[in-house]
Amino acid sequence: MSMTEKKLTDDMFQPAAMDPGKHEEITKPSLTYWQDVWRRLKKNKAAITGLVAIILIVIMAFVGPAISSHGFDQQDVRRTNLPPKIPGLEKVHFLGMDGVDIRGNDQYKLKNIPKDQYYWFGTDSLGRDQWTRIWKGTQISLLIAFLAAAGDLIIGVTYGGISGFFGGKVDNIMQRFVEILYGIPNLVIIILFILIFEPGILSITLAIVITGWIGMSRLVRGQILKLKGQEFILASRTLGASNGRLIMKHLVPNTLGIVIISMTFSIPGAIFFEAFLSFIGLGIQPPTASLGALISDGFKQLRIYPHLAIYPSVVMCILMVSFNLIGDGLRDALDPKMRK
Amino acid sequence: MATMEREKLLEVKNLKKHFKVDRKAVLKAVDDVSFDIYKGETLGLVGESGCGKSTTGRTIIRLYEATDGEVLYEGKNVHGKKSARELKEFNRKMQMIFQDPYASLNPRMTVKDIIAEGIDIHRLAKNSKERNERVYELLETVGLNKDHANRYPHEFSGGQRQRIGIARALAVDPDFIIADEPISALDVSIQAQVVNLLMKLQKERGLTYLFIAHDLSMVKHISDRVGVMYLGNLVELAGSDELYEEPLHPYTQALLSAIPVPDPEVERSRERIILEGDLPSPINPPSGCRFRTRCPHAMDVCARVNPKWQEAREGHWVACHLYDQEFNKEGK
Repeated sequence: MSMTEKKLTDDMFQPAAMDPGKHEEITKPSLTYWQDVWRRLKKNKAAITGLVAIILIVIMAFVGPAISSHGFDQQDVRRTNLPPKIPGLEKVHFLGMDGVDIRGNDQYKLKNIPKDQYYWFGTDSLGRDQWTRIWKGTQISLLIAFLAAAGDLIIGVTYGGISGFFGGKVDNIMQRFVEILYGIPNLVIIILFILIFEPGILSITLAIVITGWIGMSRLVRGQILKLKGQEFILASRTLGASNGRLIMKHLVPNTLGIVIISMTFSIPGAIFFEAFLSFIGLGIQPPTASLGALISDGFKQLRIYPHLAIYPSVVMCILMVSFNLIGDGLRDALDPKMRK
Repeated sequence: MATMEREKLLEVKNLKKHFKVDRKAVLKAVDDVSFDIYKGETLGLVGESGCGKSTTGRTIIRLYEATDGEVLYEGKNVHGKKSARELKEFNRKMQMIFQDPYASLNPRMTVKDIIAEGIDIHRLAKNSKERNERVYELLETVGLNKDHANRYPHEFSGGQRQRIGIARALAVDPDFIIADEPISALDVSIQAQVVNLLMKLQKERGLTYLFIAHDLSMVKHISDRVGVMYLGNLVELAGSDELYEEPLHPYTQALLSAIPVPDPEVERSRERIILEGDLPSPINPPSGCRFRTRCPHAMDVCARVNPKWQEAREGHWVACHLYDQEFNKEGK
């Protein structure tokens, strides 16, 4: 247990050269909030898959009807209920893209369709091209969903923001009103709404928005209430900031995250709701198509012509799953607690 | 005392701040507090958690509307109806530094925009070049450099953030700064850095501080005078050396006996006054003297009569019946 004791002398030490300015240096690259969010979102493979799928579907919704030679409302009673037939893929029989129906008859031959005529997703009971109708329907479903989400955003953020920011009596009255609205079953409101106004893109959107904004307004109110007492808001107040400045510079930018997350979840909700309305016959009226209307039509002949229900359902499923994946990814990316 | 001849900057008279808890209960966070702050001095305010120190500070700067009483800044009342111009004037003269360096900076703004907020609100810069120069100057004043201006708060450490908060307060050239526990959320090694910065700024700019804290040794170090609060009341106010050497109020005595001494010999024999019981609720405080339920010297009169806020010695104010001529004969 002998330890070599070395005598420590002054000349063994040298003062470390330390620049006091160096002490405060930050070497990490400067990232804005949104750059940081994007960096984290990129790491989430599911969210990126969802994002890519949504971009593809949106592109197809606009390009799809144009690359087919058939119009979405072009009827032809001689060519009804044709199964899908895609050039190239028609030779691979098990894919079901060869124009043969479930009984094994080549409908294209039976109905004397010229060899160069293809209906990629088949035709419906009125002889309309399903491919064109699906993408047209996707377009309309997306339009309704985005309009409804925008409506939720505008009403929800304004209402929740005012209620949370002013608080006290204002908040009390506004929240009681919301509770009353929330207490009425929203399906009843929506069905009455559609019965009074003619079913169409605008009236369906309004019907979804009329109760849809409540969730958003509650989220925003909660966030504003939380932020209002934070010290950076107090600091801004002691500097003499006006209410407008507090709202625009401090409160809104800090609620943006949850608003975006809430929107990515309300979009699939609206798509689903529109499909539901169409399914019970209150949605988009023919000849206009929406994904819900197409599924509803196809459902009637599901056992004979399954292709009519399957393709729009697949598009809708991909759309909803993708939006949910993105919403999940964004929630993780925007949550400051996840920051490493 | 030298401070007596000095000019009063801020007078707080019978300040009350009550919060309604529900229909019946009222929380008396600050109840009848009076004190003066002289130009160029540092007044420390100490007391345990929930005694109303921060509420006092926030009511003085109008973050809360006072229930009753007056706050006079250079003879002018801070509270009551004010025009926008008058309010802005007060906002420039009085500023605040906050406790939590993680909550006091907006995470979505760059440091430059945070510091320049006061400059923008009061239009102190003619153009963006002048604005930038002022921000760089302020950053240097608090020991940061201009490379930091375009970064976001989350990239900084606690001490750096607190200094950004100080720079923000200094941007409008205030005379009076309320420091609401500016160091209690910081590492001990960083505390000294921030306190030294505050003292340096006071010397250079002739600032007046109201320094709210619960770290007794730090308050003694930075303050010229110290006020002790208990349950919404000011119980004692004196020059810091005098208060620490000769505390009069039994609460102050108990509080000061809790300070550890950095000498093991003395520390071993240090006698602590341990208070009995818990802090009563400020919603339903004891009658008479609020400290009587835990006071080792409590008398009958303490339950009946509110102790008077009086000058027991020159410059040494205390609210206790033990030092009141009228009641002193009765008990003790």
